[in-house]
Amino acid sequence: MKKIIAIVIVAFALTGCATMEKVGTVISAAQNFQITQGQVDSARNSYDGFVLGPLHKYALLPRCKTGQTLTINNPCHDRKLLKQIRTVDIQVAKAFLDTQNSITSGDSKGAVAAYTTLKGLIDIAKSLIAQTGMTVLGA
Amino acid sequence: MDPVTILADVQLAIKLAKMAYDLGKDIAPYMITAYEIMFKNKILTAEERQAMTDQELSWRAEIDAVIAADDAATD
Repeated sequence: MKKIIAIVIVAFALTGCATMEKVGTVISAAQNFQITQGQVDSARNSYDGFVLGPLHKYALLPRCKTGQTLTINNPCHDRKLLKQIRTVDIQVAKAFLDTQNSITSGDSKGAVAAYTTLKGLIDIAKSLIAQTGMTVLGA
Repeated sequence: MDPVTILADVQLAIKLAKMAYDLGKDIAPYMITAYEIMFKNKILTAEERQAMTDQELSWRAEIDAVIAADDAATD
């Protein structure tokens, strides 16, 4: 009888440990203490869809002449704006790489720091890409 | 409204729709993948991640080429 009780206690303790671990993971994720590979992959796909893809399309439009802006009849890219967004994009690419490297090496604190930087840069890039007018077209 | 104005508006709408379609066609796979990772627990394979990297490199190289051409242009 004592053996059975001991086994049951051990079983409950193990289940409790696993549950607590799960709860801890959820709390960490909720408090942004842990960045997962899925979060990075999802952010990267969103970035490619919302920013990099439209930026590529925008770059391929003819160059705007002085004083000209993008319209449906005369689609063109502003060289200054393109350069500005690409400068931010370089920083975003580096932040993605830093985040990925931290995750790969198991440096969770580094991953959180890099991901926080990344999110800030993505917001800047998104606000800049909105100025191109390309987001109106479906992005 | 005269027929010429209507025709011009229709042509404009078609142009806009074409541009939206072209852009959407390129970016839709990325948005779908992001959605699947977030809400359907999709896990990317190494090949899928590499394909994404290759596409990003290709886009960035083309953008850089345009910027270089812009810098070289005198107009």
